[in-house]
Amino acid sequence: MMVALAATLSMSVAACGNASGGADDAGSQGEDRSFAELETEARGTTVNLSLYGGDDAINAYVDDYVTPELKKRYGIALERTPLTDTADAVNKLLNEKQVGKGKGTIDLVWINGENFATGAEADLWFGPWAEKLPNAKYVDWESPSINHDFGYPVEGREAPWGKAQFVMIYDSEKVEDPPKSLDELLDWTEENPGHFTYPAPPDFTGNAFIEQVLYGVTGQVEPFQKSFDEKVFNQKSPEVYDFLNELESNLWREGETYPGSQAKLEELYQNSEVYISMSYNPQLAQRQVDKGLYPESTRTYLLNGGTLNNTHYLAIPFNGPNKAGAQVVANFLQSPEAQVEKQDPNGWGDLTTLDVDRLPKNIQKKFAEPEGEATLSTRELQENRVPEARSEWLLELEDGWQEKVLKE
Amino acid sequence: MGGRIKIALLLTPALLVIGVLFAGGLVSAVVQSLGYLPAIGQTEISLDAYREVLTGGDFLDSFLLTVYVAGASTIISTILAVLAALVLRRSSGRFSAIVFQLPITIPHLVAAVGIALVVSQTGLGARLAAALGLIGEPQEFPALLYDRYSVSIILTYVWKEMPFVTLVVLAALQGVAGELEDVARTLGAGAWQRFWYVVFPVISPGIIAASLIVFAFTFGAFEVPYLLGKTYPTILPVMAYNEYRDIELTARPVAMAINVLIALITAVFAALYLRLARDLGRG
Repeated sequence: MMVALAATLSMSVAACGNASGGADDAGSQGEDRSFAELETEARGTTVNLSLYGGDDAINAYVDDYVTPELKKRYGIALERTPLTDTADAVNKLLNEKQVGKGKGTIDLVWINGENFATGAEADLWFGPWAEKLPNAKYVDWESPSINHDFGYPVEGREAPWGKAQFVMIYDSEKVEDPPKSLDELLDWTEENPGHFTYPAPPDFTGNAFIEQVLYGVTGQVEPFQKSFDEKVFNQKSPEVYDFLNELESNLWREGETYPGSQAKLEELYQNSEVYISMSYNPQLAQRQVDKGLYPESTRTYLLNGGTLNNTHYLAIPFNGPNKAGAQVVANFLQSPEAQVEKQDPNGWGDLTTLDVDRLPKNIQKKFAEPEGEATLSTRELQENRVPEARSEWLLELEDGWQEKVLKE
Repeated sequence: MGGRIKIALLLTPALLVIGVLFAGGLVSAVVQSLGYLPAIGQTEISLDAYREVLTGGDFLDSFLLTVYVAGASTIISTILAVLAALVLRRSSGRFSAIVFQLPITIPHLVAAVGIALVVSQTGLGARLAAALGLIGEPQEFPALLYDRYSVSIILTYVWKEMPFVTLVVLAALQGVAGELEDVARTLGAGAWQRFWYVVFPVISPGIIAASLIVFAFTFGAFEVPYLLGKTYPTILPVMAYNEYRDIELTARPVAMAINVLIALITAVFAALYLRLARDLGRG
């Protein structure tokens, strides 16, 4: 009965979508219904949330907390579709756009950076809608780190869900004084050959590492926040590759191959093949220690000059069959309660996207500094942040890495 | 004339399936490889993607690696399979039948993960070798995973494909080969003579067909090298996939061009191989 009802409802939603917009520009209409209307329409429907599925803690947060809460509060059945790479979802949508498929299968997708920008270029996103959510009042939409996603204007086409910050992880039993600058890293790898590596770009963490190297060798952040400038890039990038090539001979497997993903790097650290690791999740080390996967002596630290941080978002595809349901789900995920739950270091441990100053006092208290020896305080993280470069810089840097570091 | 119509009618359903699913996919790959992608406003036909693929050094590196992996896997599994079949035909043991049939039922993906668990430097093999005192520490175990010689990929393929070739050869052996061999023996032929002049000609069509299937499959297969291969160079299907998932949509024609080239190369290899087999048969 529920299923039949859900199917009818989602079909009628899709029908509305098709009636109100042509097949080509369904994504550029935006949301004009009130949130109360959306809530009514969403009740009893199914919402498909497509997100990277390789992290057990994230999956558990969605399955064990979000799904039952949505069922209870809004009568929405959440269906989680795991992705190995968010680019797969973007490719799928692109194929659907190509063949003019007006009704897709993805209602809401977890996304940011290059994938969002690529999709926006091909007009794959529904919107604007995100700034109209009731919980958007807790979000600082004026902040450039919210209204720009890796330098790309968001324009209400995705709702911020959380924040991440790049951190370094090390085993204090094997490493006395972890390298905090690039020069120190060179020295350390020379003394400890084979015990450091980074995931091969275009892996997300690998990208962050080479970007961190870009900031480190140039000592600059500012030029990379502007539009891509080939002259500047040609001037600065050789320094990055020179550094990485110098590092290479002392990497794991002498740099002949690289771990293909963050998960593979974690495995190497877990097996003590490497002594220093890295993550874009500041709580990862603590969680892995608590689970008994990482040694108790694991610690997190930051590089001098600050580490990268970014915002991740939720977007609705142009052909999403249940746009009302997707917005209700996004609003719930942005609620202070769901965000408190998300920041729990023993759960996902993802930093909040909300502006803590805008929250009611009793909720502010819940965003206290995370506990645990293997992690860092929120204050320390916040004081040592640098913004991501705009996507074009990173794309060029990745391509250059393939040519000048991997193949040479 | 009537016979021809009958043949055409009988073949139509199968040809339709092949035509729609296979040729349809191939045609759309060819079209996209020529740069025709209306979704991102590219409607001009050009050979740029092929030029880019064929003039870059990556393609050659990947091509050589792919030929090496597919060739080594095919040769090793075929030789081992023929030897196994010659032994197995004499024993009617159920145990050996199971040992040889089991790998066929296991997906390549599972086989790859299993091999990785055994041969990685922190894996079962390394720990065993360390426990037996063959190496000092597990880390000293040779790098067989993500390695230069693709050892783990070839191991997975041999483990998977050898039993398949064995079963084909066994089927051929169970035909007339036994009787012919007995005749040869009564005429005073030695063991090697019996194999080379009597048994081998009988089973060679089976060996050729099975090994061609193994070669064509390992040449175009994706999942095992994707899981166990090193970052660069990659085999051709992984290279195509990496281009396909490139965030820049303009890389799509390049990915499709690689796919079309894989299909062409496999076809050329198959044709050469079959021709060689025919010449051998005549000789």
